[in-house]
Amino acid sequence: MYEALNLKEWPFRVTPDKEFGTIWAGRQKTKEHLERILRRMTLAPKSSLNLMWANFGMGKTHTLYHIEHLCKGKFPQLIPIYAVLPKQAKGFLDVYRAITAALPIDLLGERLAAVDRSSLGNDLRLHPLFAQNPDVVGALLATLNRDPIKLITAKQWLNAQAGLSRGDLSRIEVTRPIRTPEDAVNTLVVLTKLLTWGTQPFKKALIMVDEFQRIGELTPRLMRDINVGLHTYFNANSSGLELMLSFSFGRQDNVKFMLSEELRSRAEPQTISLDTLKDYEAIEFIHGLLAQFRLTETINYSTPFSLEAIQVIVKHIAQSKMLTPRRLMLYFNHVLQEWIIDHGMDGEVRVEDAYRYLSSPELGTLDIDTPEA
Amino acid sequence: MDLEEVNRVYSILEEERRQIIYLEGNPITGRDYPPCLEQNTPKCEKCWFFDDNCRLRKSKRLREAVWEIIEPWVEQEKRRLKQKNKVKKAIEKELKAHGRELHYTILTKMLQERYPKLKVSEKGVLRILRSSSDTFEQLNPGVYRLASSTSTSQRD
Repeated sequence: MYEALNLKEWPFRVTPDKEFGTIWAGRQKTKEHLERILRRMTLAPKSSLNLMWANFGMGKTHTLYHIEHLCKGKFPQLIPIYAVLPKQAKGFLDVYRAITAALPIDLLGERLAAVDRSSLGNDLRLHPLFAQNPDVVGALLATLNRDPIKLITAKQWLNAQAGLSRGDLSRIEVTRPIRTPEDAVNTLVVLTKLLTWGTQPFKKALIMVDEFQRIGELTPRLMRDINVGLHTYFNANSSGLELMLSFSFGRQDNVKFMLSEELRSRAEPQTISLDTLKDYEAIEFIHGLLAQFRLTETINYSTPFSLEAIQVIVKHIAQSKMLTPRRLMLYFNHVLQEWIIDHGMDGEVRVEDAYRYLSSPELGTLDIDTPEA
Repeated sequence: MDLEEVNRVYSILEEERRQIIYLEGNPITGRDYPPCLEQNTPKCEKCWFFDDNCRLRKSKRLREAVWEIIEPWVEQEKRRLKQKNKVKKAIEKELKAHGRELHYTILTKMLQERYPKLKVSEKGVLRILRSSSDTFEQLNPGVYRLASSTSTSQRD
């Protein structure tokens, strides 16, 4: 807590933080657009494919965390699942692994327990829900078991990990491991359907795959494998699924080169775009950010900066670089920390302080608009 | 040049094959040739082909005869280089705008759509990426980005 600054937490962070997912600063139109899209998802059970593009440092991952937060509060009909496309993915199996690792296993167990088995001679495997991969039943039942070995084995099986022995498979009552992209698609279809099975009002799984631009580093064969896997998965879930793929690179219209024609044609016409900020948006962003960390309401919404100091810092960045949330965080963090070291926490950062702490010619020389920046 | 003269000149040309001629054992191509041939004036201080007894230096007619053979090759080479530079610039522009590494097959698709006149192929793009390590950096097999010296100024 920073009482003297009237801040309950340090507001400037440069890496995405799930706990910070509750925060949304400035960019009111983007927030409204996001909420509108989430609202649209809850209107009808039909599945849809959504694309998100963000320029560098525009808070793409943070936006996905914020969507996750909104789903837990304002849009409980959506079950958010956040996954990341691994670097150097070896095909759809890796996408599958990333998604299943993020699935709420406890919730799947609850849903499984709720499936009516009375007409099936108590054998859930015969239920049409599991027709595409009845082994899912064995694995999920094993996760409900208190035996830690069974639990670990079931998770390994669900994650398509290699090296499970026949003994392991029979321990959790599954017949074979998940080896091929087809196995992965079938399993994922069953898990997704189970996640929303019998929910009233209907629920949908919102599967967000972050860093999907990494597909652009893969060979055509791997790229095809992932695209085919995703569109087969999407097709097999005509309802109950919201798939969101997020991309980060400098040019929005490059998204189309990353997706197959089949996926492109299934994507919603309206994408989520996070492009660089204008000066006034950057100032709003800082005000909005500080406002969300206030200990007490204040009429001075710039505290601990003077309004002019905020303008000076924003202008300084805009002179040579693009204005992005990440960059704003970096510079404001730098100025505030330096100011506290020199002045303590009393008073406010003034224009002359901002000039002083921004004057170092070394400042920001390594800060360029690349993914690693 | 009369027939006799031509025969004399051509007898010096030991071999003519695959757009290479050998003059006293030294290969001359459309890419690599003594500068005196193009301007038909000896620029011997810049020449790395022959020593003081150079026949080209002594014979204007020989220079003309050799130039007559290699001029189309030189023109072809200039066109090729010009095309290569255009493709290289286009690749550079695409990588810069994208800001991330890309597989050369995706880069080729971008170029094919945005620069149809360049008529690039995957092989051609890969060849340029491989041969321009000062501009492009390979991160993984087939995956390239702008070399750090080129990219530091990007989008700033």
